[in-house]
Amino acid sequence: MKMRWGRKSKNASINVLKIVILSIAIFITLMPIVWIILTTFKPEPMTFVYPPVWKFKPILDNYISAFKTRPLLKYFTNSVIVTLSTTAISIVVGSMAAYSMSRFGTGGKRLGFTLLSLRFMPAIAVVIPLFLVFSKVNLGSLHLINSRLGLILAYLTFNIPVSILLLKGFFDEIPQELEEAALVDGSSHMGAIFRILLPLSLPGIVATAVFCIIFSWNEFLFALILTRAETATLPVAIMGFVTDRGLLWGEMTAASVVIVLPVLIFSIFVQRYLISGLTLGALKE
Amino acid sequence: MEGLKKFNIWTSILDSKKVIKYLFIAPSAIILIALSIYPFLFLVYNSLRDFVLTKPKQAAFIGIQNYIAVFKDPIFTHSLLVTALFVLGAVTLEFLIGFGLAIILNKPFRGSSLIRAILLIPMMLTPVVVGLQWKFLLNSSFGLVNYFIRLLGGKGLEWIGSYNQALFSAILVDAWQWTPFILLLMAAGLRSLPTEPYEASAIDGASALQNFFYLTLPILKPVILLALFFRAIDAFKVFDIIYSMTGGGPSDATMTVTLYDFRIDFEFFKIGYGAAIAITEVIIISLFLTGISRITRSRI
Repeated sequence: MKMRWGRKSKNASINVLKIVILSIAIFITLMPIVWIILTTFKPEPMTFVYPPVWKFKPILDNYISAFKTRPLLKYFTNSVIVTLSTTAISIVVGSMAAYSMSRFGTGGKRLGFTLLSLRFMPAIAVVIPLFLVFSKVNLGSLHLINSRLGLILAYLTFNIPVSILLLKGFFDEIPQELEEAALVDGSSHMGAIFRILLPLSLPGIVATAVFCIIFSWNEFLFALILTRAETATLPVAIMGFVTDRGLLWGEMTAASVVIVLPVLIFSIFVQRYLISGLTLGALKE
Repeated sequence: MEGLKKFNIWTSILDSKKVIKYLFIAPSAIILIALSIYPFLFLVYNSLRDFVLTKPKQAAFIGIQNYIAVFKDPIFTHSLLVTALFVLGAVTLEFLIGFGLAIILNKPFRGSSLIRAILLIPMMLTPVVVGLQWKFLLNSSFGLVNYFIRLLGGKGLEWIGSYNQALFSAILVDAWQWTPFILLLMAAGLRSLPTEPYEASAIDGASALQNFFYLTLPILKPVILLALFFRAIDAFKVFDIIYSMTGGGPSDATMTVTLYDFRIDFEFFKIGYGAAIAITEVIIISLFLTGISRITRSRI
């Protein structure tokens, strides 16, 4: 009797401990985000007051001046175009290569390892030579430096290897017999791919696209080196709030919310796809 | 009729396995050769030249002299040490906290999936933005972090304003953003654990602690190694957070290898020397990669 009571109280205290730890973790995760969002609605002078002000009349001045003093909408458009284009190309091209590797064993293990090492290449080692090569390309009106096209191409160096590795993993899981049965029934190869393989691996394709989108939206170093003013993406643009006169905190926090919000909303819906993307499919949920 | 025949020829070509095999791999191969392989070879070539962007015509071939200079460069050695400390600190912290949280959240309870979704938020955020926001939050005079420390009776720290605390601050911020990654991976690992070994050990009367050390850890070893491996390599390449939060400073306190390389290339325009640093970074990562893959292969 006594022992059972002892175990019960031990369980209860473990539960209390768990609640305390989780509360701290949630506090540390959310507090910075809540504070930044509050800051965006504050009048500029209140930003630096100590102790921090929690109650104030919210205003939109920071958002208005961030959009007024800088072409944020343009940067936003640049980010959207670059992100969607590079993702679309990577998915199409990547799924073709993944199909070849999955069904015909093209390249064997060595190709897989090469793609893996491309994923682990330090960005700086990729972007310096790209910068030099792109600077030399000049086909009339077609520029690769300081252009969205150049950035789209540059992101392919990361997105294509990741897409191939992920999609190959997803294709491998779909039994080849299904396609073969369709071939026996008189379907063409392309027909078997479009009617059987692609619909069945749709969740995997979505997962891959999600990963490409989040990576491209958040990418900074490539964009910093390959774009300027007109063609900059949002992550580069936000560094523009660090001026010679110091950091424009109010506008900077407002612009940060503009960058982060789309991915945040988007990721709530796609969280379950993230894990395979982050580990190149080495671990699936 | 003519058109139909032509169409049939095309479909029959597309139906040949060999054609599909090579035709499908070709676009990726062409793009990656043009945008990854060729530029990489160009990088290797540049690392052997005395190439300065402001005087491109004078770039002479100098063999491995850039590499010799890299190893004699005290700032490079310093940046390597900074990076090593950053990787060690950040990955250890992220692993312990992330694994701990994954264990707590393993048994579902009311609200546990909502809590997990909240805890995963930081890793979706743009790293440059994360760095900038923490620069704001860690400000020693009006920052929110010091405010809370003082509420609890502490004095508050200098954080990124001090040479001795800046790297520690960067590690904490990296941990804030990437602990969720470990949490996500370890949660998936824990969920995939088989039940039979635990049933057997319950019959033997094993304690929870014994279960953890003799069953859970060994079974999860591949997942643990995978998680550490991905985090370690990405932490080694760190750039965005540090660039926006400290810019490598104060002085050189948070100057990581990638940041130093960026400076050499785009502030001093020493492309040849920068290429040698980049190649050195690639070599270190690939040594690490082969080392880890050898360990995992022999254990799985």
